[in-house]
Parts: sequence; C-alpha cells; structure tokens
Amino acid sequence: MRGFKRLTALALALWCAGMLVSSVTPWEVIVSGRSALDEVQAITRTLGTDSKTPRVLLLGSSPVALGLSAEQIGKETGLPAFNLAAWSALSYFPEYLKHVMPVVHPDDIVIISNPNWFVRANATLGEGCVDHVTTNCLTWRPKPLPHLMEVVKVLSGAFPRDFMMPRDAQGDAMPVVYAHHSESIDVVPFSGRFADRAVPELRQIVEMIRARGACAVLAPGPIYVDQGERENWQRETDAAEARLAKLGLARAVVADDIINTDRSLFLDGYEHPSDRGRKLWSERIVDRLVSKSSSPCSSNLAKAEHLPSHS
Amino acid sequence: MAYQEHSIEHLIPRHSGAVWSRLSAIIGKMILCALGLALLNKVSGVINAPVTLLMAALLGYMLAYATSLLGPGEARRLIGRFVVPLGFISIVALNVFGLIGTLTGTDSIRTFSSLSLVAAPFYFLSISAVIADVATRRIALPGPLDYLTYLALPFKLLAGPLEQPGFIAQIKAWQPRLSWSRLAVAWPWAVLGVTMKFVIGNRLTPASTIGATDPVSAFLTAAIFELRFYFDFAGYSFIGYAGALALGFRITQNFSSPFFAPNVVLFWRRWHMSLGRFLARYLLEPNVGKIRGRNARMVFTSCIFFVSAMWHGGTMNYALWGLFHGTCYFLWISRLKRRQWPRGIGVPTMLLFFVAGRFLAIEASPHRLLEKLGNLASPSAWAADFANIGERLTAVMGSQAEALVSALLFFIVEYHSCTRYGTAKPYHAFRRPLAAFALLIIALLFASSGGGLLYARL
Repeated sequence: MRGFKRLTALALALWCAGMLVSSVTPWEVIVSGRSALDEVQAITRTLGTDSKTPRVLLLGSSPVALGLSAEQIGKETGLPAFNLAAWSALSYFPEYLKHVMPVVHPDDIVIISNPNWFVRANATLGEGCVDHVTTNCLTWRPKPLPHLMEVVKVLSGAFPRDFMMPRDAQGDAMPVVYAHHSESIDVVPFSGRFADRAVPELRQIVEMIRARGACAVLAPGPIYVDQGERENWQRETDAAEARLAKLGLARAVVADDIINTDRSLFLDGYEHPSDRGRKLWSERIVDRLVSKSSSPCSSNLAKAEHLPSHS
Repeated sequence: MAYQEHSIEHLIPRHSGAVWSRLSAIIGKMILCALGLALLNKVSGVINAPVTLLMAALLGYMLAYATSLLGPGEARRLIGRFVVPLGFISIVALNVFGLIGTLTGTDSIRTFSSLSLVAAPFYFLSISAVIADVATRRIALPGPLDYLTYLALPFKLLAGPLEQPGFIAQIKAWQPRLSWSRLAVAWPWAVLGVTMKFVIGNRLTPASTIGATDPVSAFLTAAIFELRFYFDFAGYSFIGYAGALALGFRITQNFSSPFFAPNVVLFWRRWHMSLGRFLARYLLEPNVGKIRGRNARMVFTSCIFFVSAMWHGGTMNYALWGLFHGTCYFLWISRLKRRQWPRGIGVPTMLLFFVAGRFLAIEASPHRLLEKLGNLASPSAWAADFANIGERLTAVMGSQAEALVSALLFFIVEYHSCTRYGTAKPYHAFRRPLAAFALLIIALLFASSGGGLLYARL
C-alpha cells in the first residue's frame, strides 16, 4: 500500500509540476514564433540587401501567407513582390515587425495586414520573448494539459519547420487543397466593438513604415462570418475606416469586401483564404494600387515606371 | 447523575458524527450538482442548457413522485414499459426537426442544433429511466438531491452519461472523502484517457477530407474517422471514469477494446457500453419476451439498432447506418454465428464492418453520400484512384502520419493486453505501474488541448 501511495503521489506531483511549468509561459507561441521568423529570414535573404528597385512587400500573418499572392501582385504591377508573412504572427506582431522593418527600403510599397485588426482572445507574447525567454515573458495562463514538448524545444533550441506549409521563393504558401475542404470551417463569432482599439495600433504601424520612406497600405484580411452577424462586422469595419479617414489615412486602407459569408472563399479556417479567395483579395489590392484616382502609392509606382525592368 | 453523564457522553459523539457525516454528504452532493451544471453551461456556452436540465429534472421528479403513489395495476405497468420508449421517440423527433445536432464529426454541420438541448438525449433518457424504474419498483423514489446528483454528475457528462437509475444507490451511500487507494486505482485510467484523447485522438483530423468522394479517399477518411471516434470518445470516457473512481463512484467504463471483438454482437457489448446496456434494459428485455417466434424476436432485436441510429441523428445517413448495423446483427445471430470462421476471413470482415458503418455515419449530406456510394461501385473510379494511389494516400494520411503510427502502437499494446489479461481486465497492460508511468510521461510531453468532444452533442 505504501508503494502505491508513493507512486500515486509521484504521478500527481509530476502532473502538477508539468501544469505549473506549462502555465507560466506560452511556450507553443515561442516555438511557432521562432520557426516562423526563421522562415521569414530565409525569404528575406532572396531579396538582396542592396536592391534599389522599389518592391512590393506583403507583411502579416498566415492570412497573408495564404491569401495574398506575391506572384500575382508582382505580375500585375510590374514590381518585384515578396510575401514576408509569418505564421501565427498575431501572437507576436510587434516583434515580427521589428524583424522585418529593416528589410523595408525607401520607395517600397508595404502591404500590411495586421492580424489583430479585430478583437480576439490571443495568447500574445511580450515583446522580445520570441528571441529570448526571460523573466519578462512570464505570464499566468493555466493549462491542465502540460504539453512539455514545447518547453523541451524552447530550451534545446530545436525548432522544426516541417509542420508548416511549403512556400515558394517569393514567399507564397503552397497549400495542399482538398476537395470540399472548406466544409469543416466555422464562422468567426462577432467579438464586439474593435474599432476604438484597432485604429491607434494601425496608425502606429503606418507611421513606422512611412518613417522608412515607404508607402503603407493597410489591408485587413477577409474573414468568414455568419450571415446574421454580417451587419455587426460591417458596421464596426466601417467605423474603423471612418476613424482612419479622420487621421488622413483614407487612401491607405483597402478593406473592400472583406466581410464574407461565402465559405468557398476560405481554405481551412475563417481567415485563411482559399485559392479563389487569394486571387480575389490580390486583385482588389492590385486594383487599388494601380487606380489612377485612389492609389495610395501613386508616386512610388510612378518612380517604378522609369525603371528599365518595368518599361 | 453518573448514569446521565455516561449516557450523554455516549450520545454526543455518535450523534455529532452521524450529523457531520450526513451534512458532508449533502454538501458534497450539492457541490457535485453545481459542478455538473457548470460543466454543462461551459460546454454548451449558454445558461439555457443547465436551466433546461433543471426544468426537465423537476418535471421528471414530479412524474416519478406521482408514479410512486400509484398502487399496483395496469397504469403502473404501462408507465414502466413505455416511458423510456416514449423518451426515445421524443428525442428522435427532436433530431428529425433539427433541434438536436447530428453526430457527424464536423462542427459546421451541427450549427443548426439548439444549444439549450446539449446532452439532452442522455438526460431525457436518464429521467425517463428513473420514472420507469420507480413504476416497476426496481428502485424506490430517490431523494431529490440524490436524483439531481444522478442526473448532473459531471463525470457522467464527460463519459457519456447514460447510467441506469440503479446508480442512485451508490449516490445515496456516498461519503465525500479522498483516499489514496482510490487515487491509486484512478490515475492510470486518467493517464490512459488523456493519452487516447489528447495525444492520439486530437491529432487525427479526418474532417478535412470528408468531402473527398473518390473511393480510396472516402474509405480511408471513414477508417480514420472510426479511429478518431474511438480515441476521442474512449479517451474522455476514461477520464470521466477515473474522476468518478477517485471520488468513490463506479460509473460504466463505456469501452472495452471493441476493435478486438471477434463478432458484431461482442463489438456492441464493448463499444459505448452504457448506451448498449440501456437499450437492452429498457427496450429489449421488457418487450422481446412478448414476441412470438424466434425469427421475429431476432428481427425485433436488430430493429433496436435502427432506434439507436435515429437517436444518434435524424438524417438519412443515420437511417442507413441503423439498417446496416441491424442487418449485420441479424445476419450474425440468425445465420453466421453457427459456423466456424477462419481468422483470415473474420478479421478483414470485421475491419470492413467497422469502416463501412462509419462511412455511412459521418456523411450528413445525402447528395454526397450517394456520390460516394456510387463511386464505390464504379470500377473506373477505383481505376483512377489506383493510378494516383500515392497522391491519394498522401492527401488523406500525410498530415496525420504521426497520429496514425501512435494509434498503431496503441493497438499493438491493446492486443497484447487483450490476449494476456483477457477482457475481464480491460486495458490492464496500460495500467500496470511502469506502463502507466510511461503513458504519464508521454501525456506530459505531447498532450495538446483543443479538438472538442467529438461524440458529444455540442
């Protein structure tokens, strides 16, 4: 009996210790963050450091990796385009921006889709925690299931990339598409008012890009919503656009038709566009970019037209 | 005076001990009820679900009370015989009208269901079973708190809550206390459940290829769905079973290595055991004796699968699923069981039986189900699949290869357990100290949350 008691006590103690360790830091976010930033770094190496050509850079999270085509945008604008989106960047977006901002050159066109444009319960990391786990990264998120493999990965520095979708040289994701895959997608529930919180953050991002001499285009990603909640989403999106317009950013925002009730436009989640969704979203971005009346980056494109490669 | 003092000393400890014991049992049961209702609220996401349960429980208790007042006679006999079948019919009606979700394995298809009726199929049947058992004097009218604890017990909700009212006797005698011996028995079950559900089950994601209609993909998807249902449902059943054991309840274990059953009859005795026993007790046993003729009795027994199917979901695919299982059951008990079948035929036939049943159960779209069935019978569809077999296998299994290998390893140990310890000691090889510790380490390292409860009506 004493043996059983000891064994049981040991098992319970191990489980409690595991829960404690896994609850003090979102280890899985650090693991996916490091892997994703490694991948982005590999793509940025193909850009070349001394390129003087104005380029189109696509920044954001998985919706951008899957939903915007650098190839299509590059072809239709005549500019070299690169998809620098990082998987699951919504949890560490400020740190992701810090990593990619040095790549942005004057005259570049930066199309950025902040994945946190609407409110949701994310496991967001403190800034710098993807690079270095310090005591600042300690947060309390109780988890009954430890999943200590993530802790082992962080401590050992081994971050496998094989769980991600392959990406081509321009950074576009190449998802495996199954027939009727979208049928298992659920809508995103309306999470309440988000315009008040989102606008200052979006403004800050635009300022950050403009400070590097580049042109910023804010492009919130398409989402799949319930028909009954469509109006709520649209109303709040319109409110955010109106506030950005008041700040003089009306031209910088491309948010046409982002609230969708057509599930076939999505691949495997409410914000992951399918191949058709990718074409449509990319087309909308290109239409706005090349529009003579409302292009947010007409001067950049004008400069590009003088380049021999686009003549 | 001395006599009085002695009598007081004699009385006080006994009296206070008994009062404390009763008080702690009442408080413990109230806590369990509150936890059960809170869990129901959590999984449904709406307060209406526990409110619906409380209202149904109140109505059921009033009916049980009225039944207990009836003297012996025809009325009581009829209540005892027909109240549970009526409960089944009402649930089937709710299913057909779409108020209760259908078990398909994909959340999006279940969005039409009313969240107020989460787990209602289980709760309504439990209530009608109490009325039936009170009517047949199988149990006395339980106290209100014992009755509510029986319905709302949180471990039951997790494990597939179709315990028979005989379980109320355990609740009545229950005393809340923690004991090392209970914990020692419970934790290996908990670790086994966590490993099955959160290490293997959650990593199986067949829903992503449910729309594939070519024969190879559709068949493989059904096979992986069958695995997913097993690891998912058995996993959280064992977690619930462990929680109940730790507190001193013995609820139905629900699974006992069903895939190693040698025939369909034994399979159904080992898969979702609480439902199987419930159907046998309240639909089969009271009625089968009244049917004349052996063949008619066998047909009646097989028809219970159809009732069970419609209870699972009021859709065409579930009707076909019920007919399929009823036919298999009938063929086995009427014709096939008398012969000796070599393992070379028996094992593949059972595998085909598992997958074919799931093939029908998961496809809620009648149009696509017919397309899939048509492709199964089409040589050209098979030929096209075999021409691209590598691509098909990768598309369906590629992303879940690790989970499939884990499932295979699990089955090897499960087979060893079945052959070495027999079904009287289910999953014993996993519960031995070293194996349980190995599972504990695996669960600590790899158990990931999410995935939902696939079998629950959420």
